[in-house]
Amino acid sequence: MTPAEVNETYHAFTVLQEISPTNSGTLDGTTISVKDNILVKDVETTACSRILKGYKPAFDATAVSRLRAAGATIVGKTSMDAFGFGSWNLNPGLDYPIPKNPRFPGKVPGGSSGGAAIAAATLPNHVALAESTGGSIETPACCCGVIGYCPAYGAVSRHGLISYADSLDKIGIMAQAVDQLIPVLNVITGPDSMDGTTLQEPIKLSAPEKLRVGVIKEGMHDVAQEVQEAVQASIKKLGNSCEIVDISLPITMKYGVAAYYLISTSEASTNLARFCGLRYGQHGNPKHKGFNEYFSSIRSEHFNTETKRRILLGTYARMAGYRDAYYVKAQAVRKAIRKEYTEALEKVDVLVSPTLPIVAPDIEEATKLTPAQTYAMDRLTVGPNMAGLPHASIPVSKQPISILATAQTDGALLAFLKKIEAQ
Amino acid sequence: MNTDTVEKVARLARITLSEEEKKQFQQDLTEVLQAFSTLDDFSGDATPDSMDVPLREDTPGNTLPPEAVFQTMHEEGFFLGPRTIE
Repeated sequence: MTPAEVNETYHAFTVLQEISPTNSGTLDGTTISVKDNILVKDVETTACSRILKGYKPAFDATAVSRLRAAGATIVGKTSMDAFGFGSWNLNPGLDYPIPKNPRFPGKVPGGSSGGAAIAAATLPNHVALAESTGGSIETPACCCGVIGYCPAYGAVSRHGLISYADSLDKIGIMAQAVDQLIPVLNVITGPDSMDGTTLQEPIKLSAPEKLRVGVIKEGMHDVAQEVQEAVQASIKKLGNSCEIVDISLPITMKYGVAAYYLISTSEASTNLARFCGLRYGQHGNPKHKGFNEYFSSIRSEHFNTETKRRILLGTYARMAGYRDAYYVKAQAVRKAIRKEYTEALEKVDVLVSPTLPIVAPDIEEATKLTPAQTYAMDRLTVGPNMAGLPHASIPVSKQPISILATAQTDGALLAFLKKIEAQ
Repeated sequence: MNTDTVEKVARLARITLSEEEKKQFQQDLTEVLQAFSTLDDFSGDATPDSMDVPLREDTPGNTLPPEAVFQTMHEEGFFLGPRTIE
């Protein structure tokens, strides 16, 4: 299929526009789509929210400029839940269509990087540039049956990424095969003077001879039977070449979702304060209104429901009188989660669980979930995102069911993915 | 969370809610916070996580040309904003 056909059938793109490479290199012949919260110079970039309609950035994000300099051709910007706020891509901004799952018709495409997952699933020799804050690469990869790869926090520069939650946002990629990931990772990772949080060390691609795989015990509890069976069958097949042990992550699995949502929405509620009808995107007629009335009118008219909900939650969690009980407590939990992962990855090379606790839901089923129920679906993906470790989702079934793997190094993670891919 | 709190939070966030939205968000956020009350059980080290972000030197360097930076202005040479003086 061509990008135009993919868009016509699945509504995967917010902008279809071919952008040439700036140089020739290791990615000659590779096409790349860019999630709509990552800046591409002079191409409308809205994070799939109506409030940014008309905004055309003055520069490329670092990841984009590196890809273009390595020979990649960009084919367009992909759909997402507005600002990354969603697990199913059912929350694109007002006026944007809901994308459709190409491999499992009727199922959600997954979010927030749903358009990226669709592009990766349908376009030949294609790698989709996406972004994860709490599961936005892993979940859509699972729903659309592709590989979703999220490097460690800081491995890829966030310069030119529209922030959701700065301490959690990570640019990553999606593709159909593991071998497609490595050349792109080699290009997009590495220090960047424009982002002080980038890691100074290059990613480590070496892997141990025999992988030690830790199955997260709590990650197999309260999981749909089909999911449990598919994941266990896949792990069983690894038994010949890997050492398999059980690992417990009680803090992550009990408190992860609450801590993640309180931290991420707190950060989002401040990050989105800049969208108020002055500097970026939509603006109104300010001549007859006071500041508060003007800002409120623009934000109320153009933010969608989930964006408003998360801004309210984050604002509440930071308010005097509630801050210690929510935001500060969540940060203490996050510290404990990072420690739990560090200790677990001293015992094993890779930690595994299902990506989603259920088979990717039908659109109708997902629409009926309350916000609290939807947030709870992220319980297996928020851990590695909060720990800032490299992790990936890879299909293990003919249904939309995947394994989520987390490692200390990219080398161990990629070696694990190769083993699953070979099954 | 009661409706007064929803209104207060929305006012702080510069979002004007319809009556229907107030009711909906009051219900949603109450349910979400109820689910998150699991944090009350957390008894580990209460010191919050901290992430040290190294700052770059504040030195002149190559930046975007002014015409690129100001291309999002709504009128030539200006960002339009509400009146500050009546």
